[in-house]
Amino acid sequence: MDAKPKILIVDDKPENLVALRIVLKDLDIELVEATSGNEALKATLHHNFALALLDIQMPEMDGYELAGILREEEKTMHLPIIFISAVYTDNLNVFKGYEKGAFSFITKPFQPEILINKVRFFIDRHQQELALFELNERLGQKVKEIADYKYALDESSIVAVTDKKGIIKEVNDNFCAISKYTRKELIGQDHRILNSKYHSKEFMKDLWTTISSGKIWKGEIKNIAKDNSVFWLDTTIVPFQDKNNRPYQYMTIRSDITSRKYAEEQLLAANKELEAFSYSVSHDLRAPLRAVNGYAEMLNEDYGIHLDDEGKRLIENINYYAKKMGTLIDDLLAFSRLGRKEIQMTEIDMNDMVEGVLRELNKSITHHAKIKVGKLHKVNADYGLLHQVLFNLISNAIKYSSKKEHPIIEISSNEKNGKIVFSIKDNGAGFNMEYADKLFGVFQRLHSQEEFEGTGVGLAIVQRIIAKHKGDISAEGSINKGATFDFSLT
Amino acid sequence: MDYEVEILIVEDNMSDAEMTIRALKKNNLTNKLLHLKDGVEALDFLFARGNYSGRKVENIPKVILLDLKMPKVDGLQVLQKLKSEERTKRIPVVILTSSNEDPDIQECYRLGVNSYVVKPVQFEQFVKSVSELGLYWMLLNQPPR
Repeated sequence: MDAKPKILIVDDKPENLVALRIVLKDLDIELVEATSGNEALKATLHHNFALALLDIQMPEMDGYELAGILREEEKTMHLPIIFISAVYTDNLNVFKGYEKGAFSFITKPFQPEILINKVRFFIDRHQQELALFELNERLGQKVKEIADYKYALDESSIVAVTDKKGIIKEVNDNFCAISKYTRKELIGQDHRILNSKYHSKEFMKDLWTTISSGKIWKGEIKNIAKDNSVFWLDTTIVPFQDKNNRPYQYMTIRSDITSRKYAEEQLLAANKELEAFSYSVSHDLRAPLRAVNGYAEMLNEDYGIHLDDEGKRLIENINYYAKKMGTLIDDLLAFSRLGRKEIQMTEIDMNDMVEGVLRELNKSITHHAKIKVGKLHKVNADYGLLHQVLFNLISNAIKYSSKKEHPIIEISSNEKNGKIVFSIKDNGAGFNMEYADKLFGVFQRLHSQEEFEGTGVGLAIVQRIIAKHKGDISAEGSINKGATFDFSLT
Repeated sequence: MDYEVEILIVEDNMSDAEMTIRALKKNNLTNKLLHLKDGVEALDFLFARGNYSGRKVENIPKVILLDLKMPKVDGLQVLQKLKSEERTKRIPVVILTSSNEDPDIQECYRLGVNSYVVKPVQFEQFVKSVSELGLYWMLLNQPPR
């Protein structure tokens, strides 16, 4: 509203209007002229005036009458009026009845400065009123905005305000709902009534130290409701500070995570159960397995001479399958144990590790593969787990290329798209890309036992380990031409 | 018991016991061997009480092959009892178990076990291990007495 303030000047004599115009010419205002009361009234319909200068002596309707009518209209009820009169008459007393709105007098002939000052006074006041009005409008908007924020907060969260000693001053409906107390029961209470004894003294001390020094505290707190039921809240405590930067009250903003905490507890319990189960499996299944193997051997040792080749073959089969079952159990247990293991990252020299794996492999299997190892990047990973990955991938490469006349295995590392990718390539049996998605499944194999031995857990273990490192693994192969396994860790 | 027991085997699993005894027999170590099926019997025997109250308590075996997982009183409890009594704490105890779980291993050593052997799954290996350990404890190792 940066338009110039408008002033209504009313005088039946045009020359007086001209004189007024000249006197007021230096002021930053817009003048609207009227030569009669009626004209003036019409003008007020079209304009918002900051001030009216009225001649008193006018035919038909004099200045006082006009003022009276202006006062009766809502739009002009508070319009400041300056009367310009040649004579100071008694009719002023009549008008004094209308006390609304400022008015002032100036008698003709008047000194221009006096008029200018009076006009300025009223204009300034008008501007101030406008500014105040605008300020109020904006304030009103801000207040509404804040009210909206508060509403949003109250609806979405569990909110409470305590004084600096922890006595509850305010709570929102959600707070009452979850704590099962009424507002009345809560206000004035120490916040501690919600304390479950779950958290240690150190925990609470740390909380108080943080917030009383003006810092925000975030964490998860276990609480008790009025009916002694338990609920967990994800909590943020915000100190409100006074001019001296000391907290005078605290606002707690929380959300209910009871079901999440419950799920966490269930998960932990399930994991423990799984661990116990794995342990049982490990122990309880091995003894009978050993017995099967044992009795078959004892049979062979003690009565072997009475058996023909077929008899011996049958016993051999018993042993073979018992052995296989053992490997299966071991692999399964290794796979399940993986899920529970915590990763410990260290920097690893891949060339060293590959060398170690090759040494180990050469001790347990005889092969004629030629293994080429390039210069490998260093990487951050869990030592034991990465060792397992390399062991599985390299032993696979050896196994599946063992039927070739000149098995060749290449181990290399490259940087691709900012990531370090390790490759293990062999020229062995390869696999059909159509079934590539089965490669890493547990117990999934793309070759029969007769072609190549295996339990189908090796690659599943590899993938799990890579996933734990948030890395990637992929494989490419073609039948009888070989396979390449590429993996990267984060 | 009218013979001195040199090797005491405490094992609840019949097939494991049979294989252990067979392996020891191969090395002629079974003359003075006793096989008991649970912890209660083992303790009764060693402390000459209950069914074994007639026994001379000073006669202690050269080695005890002890399984961990047994009903009633398990291997850990037997081990703890043995190692805490003056009379029996010098007897060499070899845990022979399926478990290779770290907590078990740590606890046994904490209680003072002399040796911890995980039963191999493969029969051949099992026989080899038992033979080796039998020979070691019976022939190579010097018993306390």
